Amino acid sequence: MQTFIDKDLCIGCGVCADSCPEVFRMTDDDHAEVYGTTTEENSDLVREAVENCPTDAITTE
Amino acid sequence: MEKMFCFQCEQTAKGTGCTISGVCGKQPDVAHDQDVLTCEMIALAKGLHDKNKVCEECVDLLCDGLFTTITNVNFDTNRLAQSISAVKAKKDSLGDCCAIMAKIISLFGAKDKDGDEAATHGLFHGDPNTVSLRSTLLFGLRGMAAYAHHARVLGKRDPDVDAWFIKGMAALAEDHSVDEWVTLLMEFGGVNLKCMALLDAANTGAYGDPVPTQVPLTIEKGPFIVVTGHDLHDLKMLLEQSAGKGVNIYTHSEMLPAHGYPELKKFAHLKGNFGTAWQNQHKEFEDIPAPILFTTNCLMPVKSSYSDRVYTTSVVAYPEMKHIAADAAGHKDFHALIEQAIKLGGYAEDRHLAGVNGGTVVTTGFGRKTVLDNAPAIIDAVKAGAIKHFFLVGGCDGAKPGRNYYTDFVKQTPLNTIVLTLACGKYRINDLDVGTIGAFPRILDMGQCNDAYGAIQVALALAGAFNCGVNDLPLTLVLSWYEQKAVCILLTLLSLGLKNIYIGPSIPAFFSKDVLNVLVEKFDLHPISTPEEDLKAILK
Repeated sequence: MQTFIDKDLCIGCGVCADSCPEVFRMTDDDHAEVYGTTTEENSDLVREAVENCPTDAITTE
Repeated sequence: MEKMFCFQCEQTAKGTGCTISGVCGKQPDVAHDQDVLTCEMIALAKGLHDKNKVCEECVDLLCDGLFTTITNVNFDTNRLAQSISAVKAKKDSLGDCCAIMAKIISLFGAKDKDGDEAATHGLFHGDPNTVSLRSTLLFGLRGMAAYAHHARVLGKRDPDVDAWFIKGMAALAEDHSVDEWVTLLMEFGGVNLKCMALLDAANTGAYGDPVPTQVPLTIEKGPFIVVTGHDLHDLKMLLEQSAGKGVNIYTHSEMLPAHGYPELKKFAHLKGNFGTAWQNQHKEFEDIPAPILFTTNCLMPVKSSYSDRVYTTSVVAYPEMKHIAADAAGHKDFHALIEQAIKLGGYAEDRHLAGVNGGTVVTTGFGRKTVLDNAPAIIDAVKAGAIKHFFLVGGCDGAKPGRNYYTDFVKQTPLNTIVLTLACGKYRINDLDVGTIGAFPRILDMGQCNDAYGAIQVALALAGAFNCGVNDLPLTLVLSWYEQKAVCILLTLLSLGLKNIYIGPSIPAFFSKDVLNVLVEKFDLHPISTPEEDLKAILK
């Protein structure tokens, strides 16, 4: 599974980085970025991040 | 570039403030209108306060305007524009409105902005400690407004509470030292206790004292309606209008305690509770074959998968959602909701839902009177050593991962302890089977967030029985917060001198470093750490 963040939609709230710090982190310009690999082990947390993102900025495929 | 600024709730972006759009889903235009409404209300209150005037119509405008700005209540700029116009008209009728707004702008207005924009921008910008203290009072007032509104629809109001809406809002337009702010906040806490007592009297007067009641989580086949929010009066009207029509009613989130009230539980078609706390509504309402009535917060941005089934009422609003307003006599016509429920038909078979921890039944109704009626048995159990400690684990629920702290905390509490709970934070624990002590379940659900009043009365009664202060009781408050009603409750607890409160999952962003230090030093307020560490410290 691959995970993407639409930077235009991201409001930098940090919810995804809270949900799954293994995959998401905040950049210096206060946006979220994907830096870790989505694995079978962390996929539930990634899904939680997708569901909790207030602007639906995260997608997976 | 900052498009808005809001830091009133626990989920605020980066733990500092939402500046692009709200994590709650609020867009900058809504945030802007809320700020305009707030400044207009401050100006109205200042005008009234300076003239030593209290008028019920003005108080109602302030009360509903404050309520409408609580997180997850109103996302509709048209409705906000109506509120702004009404407040402005009232303010203009005072005569010297320009002078009042000029005073506000000179006090906290942003230097690089003009006119009213200077006031709205300056509301949350400037000296960090002043902004922090002003915001704490404002957010507390927003919380109290919800309680005053619920009491008012049941015909109850209190002149001291009414007067304090004016005094408190006017105080936001005045310069105060830190000590003066703290005094104001403590005075406000006392007034909010009065307001919660008023709502307690309104609810129990209208619907009787809650009694322990098991609430199924199964949704029976056939048409049904889900009612969420806090307004028991709306629920009662809906129960009356839907009786005998083959439509079942299910509570959701903060409406769960309704099942404990005799005058509500007597309706056979009030069947059970649907789902869990507010933050799960996107998942829980998707594909739901029933309409949903939002009586108060928390309304999340509505997904298209269920938007044709969402109804709002009272101060709740969302663009394009169906709104049911009260007529001049306060009556609401829910026939459209009931007809849609019949048309949708509900589930074809019973649907067995479960709580967060897999439980299938929850119990509510351990209100103030039930607990106090059992005080002799509780006191005996404490004296005999069967009950070693009481915890109040309650407050708001929310989406943050760290909120599993509360579940883990309760799971780890020793078997000789009682856990009182209230508000929607209870969904983290209310389906757990943690056993009983004598006749009491170890988890006692005392009700909605405003039933913190009942918990306070229980604590005061226990302190009286043991002839000690509340802080000397084997009682610890472990609170979770999300929105502004938690702020007014926290201020009430502090005003009563309660110390050693644990609060989480994070410290409010609107507490500046210095203000937090004052609260920690003066009241021993603890940010939560881990359940293990906190329990060790509490029970040492």
